[in-house]
Amino acid sequence: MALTHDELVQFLDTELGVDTADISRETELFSSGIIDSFALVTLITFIEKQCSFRVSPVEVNLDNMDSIDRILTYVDRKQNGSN
Amino acid sequence: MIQTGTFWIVVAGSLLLFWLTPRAIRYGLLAVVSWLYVFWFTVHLYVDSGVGNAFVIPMLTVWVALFYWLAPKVVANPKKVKWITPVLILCVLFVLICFKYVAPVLQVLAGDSLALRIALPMGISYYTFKLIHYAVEVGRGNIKQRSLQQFACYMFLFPVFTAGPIERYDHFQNNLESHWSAQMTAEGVMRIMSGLIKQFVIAKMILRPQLQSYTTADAVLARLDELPTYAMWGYCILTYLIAYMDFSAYSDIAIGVSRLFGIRIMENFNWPILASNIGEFWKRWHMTLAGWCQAYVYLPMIGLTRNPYVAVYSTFLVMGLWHAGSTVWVMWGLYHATLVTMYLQWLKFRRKRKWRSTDRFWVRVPAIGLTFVVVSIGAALTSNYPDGNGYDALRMLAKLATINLPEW
Repeated sequence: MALTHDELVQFLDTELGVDTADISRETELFSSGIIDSFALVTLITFIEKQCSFRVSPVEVNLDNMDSIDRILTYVDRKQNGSN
Repeated sequence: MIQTGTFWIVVAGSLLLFWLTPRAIRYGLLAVVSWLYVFWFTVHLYVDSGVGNAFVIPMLTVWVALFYWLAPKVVANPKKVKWITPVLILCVLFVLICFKYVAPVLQVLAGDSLALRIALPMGISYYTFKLIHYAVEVGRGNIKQRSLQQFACYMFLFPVFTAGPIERYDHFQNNLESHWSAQMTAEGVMRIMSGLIKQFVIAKMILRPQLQSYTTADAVLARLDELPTYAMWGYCILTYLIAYMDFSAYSDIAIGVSRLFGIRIMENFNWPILASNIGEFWKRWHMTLAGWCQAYVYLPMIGLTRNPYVAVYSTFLVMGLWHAGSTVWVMWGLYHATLVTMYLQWLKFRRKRKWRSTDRFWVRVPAIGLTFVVVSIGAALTSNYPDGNGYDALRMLAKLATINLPEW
């Protein structure tokens, strides 16, 4: 299954309490403190459930998880088998 | 290093040479100058006073060659040689552990003479973390432009060799000025001045005299029972402020001198005394170490365990041990891990109730005060390093709560 921009934004809003009206696709989520470590764990679990793949420990990094765009790029790369 | 006249002579001499050299070989030249100076300095230090290890630079040269040659092979053939990155990391960590953690154990078991033979190489904690960062990021394909000159310059750069910051290689590469500019030079000079003022005026002339006769932890411990509690608090606060001034002064000078060479290296401190919570403190204090640990310990541990508490304690244990293989630094790490855990609990509580953060003056000012106090308490834990032990640190902590623990 794929993860769309709208699904991700809705998850950030309803499950993680992020004020999505204030953020853009490039806004840093974790390094700016918008989401904390617990929220990051919830987010990883959501990605795994939604996309039916396992996020490996080395893939949990800011390059892959720190903004809406980075998450969608990571998911896309992972699902297309290039990672 | 910066207290020696030779350091400043090397800065002045190499600056002129650096900017007169064509850009194609400029960073190679700075690498060679840095190599020669740090080699001379470490040998000189060892021969004159028996401090450090004379083989650090030849040893690092081998590491630089190995990492430069082997790390990119993973990108070219990821399926066959995937093992190269972890093997490189384990090898360099093994050497760090031998020098940094085996030596203190041997010192206890076999006495000073044996420990001295494996004396800690200067800068080993800094260069080990830089090498690990390089191997990981090259393996991830994040470092595509590779140059031996620039990598050698990054590893040996003499202003940052002994006390950081722990620069990232991609940041280093992207912040090299091609031409001399008056603005960069002015910025560099200002940062050097700022560092010198912090170290020699604020720390040495203003803060240290406030310690009066309690200039060392030993002096405090010797008279701990009769020491008033307010004086113990004063000692903790002063210890924290002096450590901040000294360490950030080294960073300022390293950043300033690098800027004279047109290299804009990473910031290491951003007014940590103004942090309004412990999470913010770790975004302002020793930022390059905190960033390194977040990238290579904290986030992978989150991925591995899915448990932020395990990730926090692992990270701060690494940070404590990075400072020294000593009980007091492990205690310091666990203390900060506990503070961060409590803060995470607060964030979780707040998120569940959908409370937004506030930055109002009447909330921020007491929060800054509270953060300052809890960080100062942590300073008491490590103030007796390297001579003291964990129990002495606990006695000092207990004194803050007006409790006199007996001597061991």
